[in-house]
Amino acid sequence: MKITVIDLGINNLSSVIKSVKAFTKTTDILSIASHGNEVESPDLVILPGLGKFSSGMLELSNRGLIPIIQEFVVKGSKLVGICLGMQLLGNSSEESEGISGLGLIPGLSSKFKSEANERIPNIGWREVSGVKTEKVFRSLNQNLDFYFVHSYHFIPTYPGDLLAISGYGNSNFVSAVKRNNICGFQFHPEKSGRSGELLVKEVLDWARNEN
Amino acid sequence: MKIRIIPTILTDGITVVKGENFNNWRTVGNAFAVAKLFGDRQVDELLLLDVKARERNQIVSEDLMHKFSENLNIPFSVGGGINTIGDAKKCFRAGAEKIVIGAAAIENPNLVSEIAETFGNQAVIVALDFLNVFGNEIVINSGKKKVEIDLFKFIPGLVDLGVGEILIQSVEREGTMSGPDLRKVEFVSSLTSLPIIASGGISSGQDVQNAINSGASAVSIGALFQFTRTTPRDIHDYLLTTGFNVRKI
Repeated sequence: MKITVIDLGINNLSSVIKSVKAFTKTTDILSIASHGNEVESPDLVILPGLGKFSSGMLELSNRGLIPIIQEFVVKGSKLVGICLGMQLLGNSSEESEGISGLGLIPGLSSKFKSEANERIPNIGWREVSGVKTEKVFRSLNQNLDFYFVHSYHFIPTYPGDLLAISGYGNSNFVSAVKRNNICGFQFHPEKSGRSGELLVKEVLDWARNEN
Repeated sequence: MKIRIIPTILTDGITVVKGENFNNWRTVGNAFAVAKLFGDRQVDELLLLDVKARERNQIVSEDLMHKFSENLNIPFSVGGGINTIGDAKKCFRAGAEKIVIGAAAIENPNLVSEIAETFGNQAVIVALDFLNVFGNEIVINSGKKKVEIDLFKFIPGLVDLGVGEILIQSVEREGTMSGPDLRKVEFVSSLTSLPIIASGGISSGQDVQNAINSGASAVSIGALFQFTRTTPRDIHDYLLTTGFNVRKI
């Protein structure tokens, strides 16, 4: 299996690569692509995110990655967005008005509203609860805690794309989405200790069509 | 939100050092070995502060950060000597989740906005080093220099600069295990909605509860884990049994 991790020059790659490497097989090829021409028919593309929505889209655009990601997703490559990477899958974000996202999972990112006993940004561990009987990512159905660091959260247009939610004050926000071969995690699986390891393994199994 | 217990490692670049009142640093171990142990214990988050970075005119060792990210599966933040956006970028690229900025944030607030513009408004922790429990004097450069800032303007303004979190350090309490400076936690908390990490003096689960009840979202603990048999798990379990919201481990 070919796994490509997208390098935007600003994102945190070493933790992601470390977490993926723990579950790769000797036949897997793990590569880093910082430009569109470095992406060669991957089975799995990982888009780790850090930073502002506009910075992320600008880097994707400058590096010729937007058409390449879209092309491979249409061809059936699996795509996983992490944190900002999940928000970039959507159409837009309140963080950067007027900037278009990848538009792969319809929806927009909105800033947290202040809630009693909650702070913004949302930093720390929260329980993640799967909203459907998810056979692919079983770790999301075990009410495990995962690590979050963000001020904006993704709101998918279609309820069918909802994969998991987490509580914030008296409400919930979307902590994972999935639409066919594309999924996004608002939390950082690579920083979420043993819960994260379970999920990373499931992501690789999913990309291998083994679960 | 679940309370975070953040073991804090003070380093001189290679080894772990122990200070008291931001002074008298002595070597007590190997920074990576200590971090690995906390990682294996699945702590909520780690904080690595290089107390000599500014003197060396460097940031915290990139090798050390790389070793952290290659061996830990939990988040870690780093601080010490970060003066430019280039310094910040090196830390994030090496796997740091957040960076701590002290002196540079006070002397050059634009640096924080510049970093937030690229890395987001969750990326920067601003450290406020309070000199003593009476009064609101802020010091920088490991407690060596007093600064004149209007905290009633500076603290509420941090959110607009793009700061993600505030680390309240108490020079007087640091390394002493004599209890956190709760008045400072209450004071800062009353001026901001940003998450607050209380640091300095924590000696027990009760101290952690007091800090949380005063408005902190997390606590940074150094000496207690370094020099007593108390583990992060002990504090976690204490909070759990007293009805506080902590992570499931």
